[in-house]
Amino acid sequence: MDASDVGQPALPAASAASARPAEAAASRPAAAPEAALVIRARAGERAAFARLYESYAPAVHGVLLTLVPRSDADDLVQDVFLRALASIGELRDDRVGPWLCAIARNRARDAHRRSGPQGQRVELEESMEPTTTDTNRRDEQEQAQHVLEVVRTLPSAYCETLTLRLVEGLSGPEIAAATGLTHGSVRVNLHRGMKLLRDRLQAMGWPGGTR
Amino acid sequence: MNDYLWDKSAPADPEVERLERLLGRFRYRGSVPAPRARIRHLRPWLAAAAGVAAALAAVLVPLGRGGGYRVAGVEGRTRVSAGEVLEVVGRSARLRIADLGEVELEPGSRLAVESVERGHAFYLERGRLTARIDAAPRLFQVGTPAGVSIDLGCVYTLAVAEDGETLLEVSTGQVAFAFEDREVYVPAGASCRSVPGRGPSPPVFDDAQPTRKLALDRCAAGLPKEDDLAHLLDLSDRDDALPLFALLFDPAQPIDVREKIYDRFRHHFHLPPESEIPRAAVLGCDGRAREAWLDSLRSNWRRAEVWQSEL
Repeated sequence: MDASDVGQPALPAASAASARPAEAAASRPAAAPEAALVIRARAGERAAFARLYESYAPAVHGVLLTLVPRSDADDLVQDVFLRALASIGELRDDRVGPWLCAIARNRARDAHRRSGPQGQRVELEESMEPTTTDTNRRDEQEQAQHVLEVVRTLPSAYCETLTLRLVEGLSGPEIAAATGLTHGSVRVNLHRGMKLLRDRLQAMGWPGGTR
Repeated sequence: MNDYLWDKSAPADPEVERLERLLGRFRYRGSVPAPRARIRHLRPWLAAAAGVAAALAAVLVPLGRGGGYRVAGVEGRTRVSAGEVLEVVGRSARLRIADLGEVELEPGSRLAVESVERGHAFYLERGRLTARIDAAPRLFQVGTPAGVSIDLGCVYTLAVAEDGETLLEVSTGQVAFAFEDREVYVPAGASCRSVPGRGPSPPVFDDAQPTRKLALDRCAAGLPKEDDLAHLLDLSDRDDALPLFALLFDPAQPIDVREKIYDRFRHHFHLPPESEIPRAAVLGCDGRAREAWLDSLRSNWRRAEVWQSEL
């Protein structure tokens, strides 16, 4: 892999999996425990669904965060899982993470459409962080918001992968499991996304934009 | 490849570490304040919807995020969480209910947030709110001193007077109103009143004839004049089926009244056969029987097309 190559994002899950089935299979988490959880959740066992929630809520939140305002992402996580629970019978291949992430993307797009000019969206402050008199903390908060906005300007595959890594703290293998991307695709997205992020931050004069 | 970026297996990359530290503040976190269990009257009415809703509500207990709701129009507040109370003074306020809709509160209202995990549960102590909700049935509920309004997908107004008497008016869709072990079903264009300690009156369409409303009120209070019931049971106005349905499934009503309604409905409407829904189940106010009858009756009532179009 060429470290200076900032090309197209890696293929999404379905394409990548069909191109490299062995790698795709290898990148997924051990299927048996999750499959058992899915079966139990389908049968109505709430504890099983709650465990799926615990496992995938950060990934769902990360995906939402790339598409909707931060406060909306918080609110929409539950909504995604509500919809997932209502349609869990449709989940056939036990790939819960990619399925949930797809619901999250759709839900975020719905929310975006609804909040358009025709919507009845309540106009409210974007930032819900508590006010603080601590200047350093406020500065850091502003920096963080700024960096997040720059991450959001990246191509969607880079944006999503980097958000899951830098915001939610998921490792590469965990991102692969959650999104259905192969390990190779996640590596590519992390690497290229990071390069692009660094370049954009540097161009904006952000002090952390250069090594 | 920087292995720290991949799986943190290599020494930390200072730049990645700094970004992690900065952006980590936006990470998903799930602290859950314990909700007060104020809304208790959640007995299923529409069995299928109730089954799903109950499952959702129960699942949401461990799923809780506790983030609360965004609010506008209340001085000094941008967000309200479970366990907090909103006092609306001077101008109206708005709450955004996740992405499900919004609630508008009129001045003088006092609203408590009961839970953001067990569905969306509130308690309107006094004042007036208008809810515009597009959610799975029963996820959005507002308790009052006189019972609980349960959203089934709709726009409605709820007004609570100083003495706790509550008026529910449904503009679109449908709402259930629960008190103790009883629920009434209020579709678009109808309203019902509920009194603390007594519960909801039968719902009635807003444009019902005043004489029929009076007859209904007397029947509901157990003080019918001669011919009141017969007057309603002639069903010359199909809208009368709505309050009569509520009386039929109100165990507090005299059994002879409910039997008369049962017989009239059996004669007048196409209903599930007794072999499927026995008479005893209906008169016993069985939830499944009520659901089955409601499904059949909705297609007969004059407003059926309105209700369906709003769902």
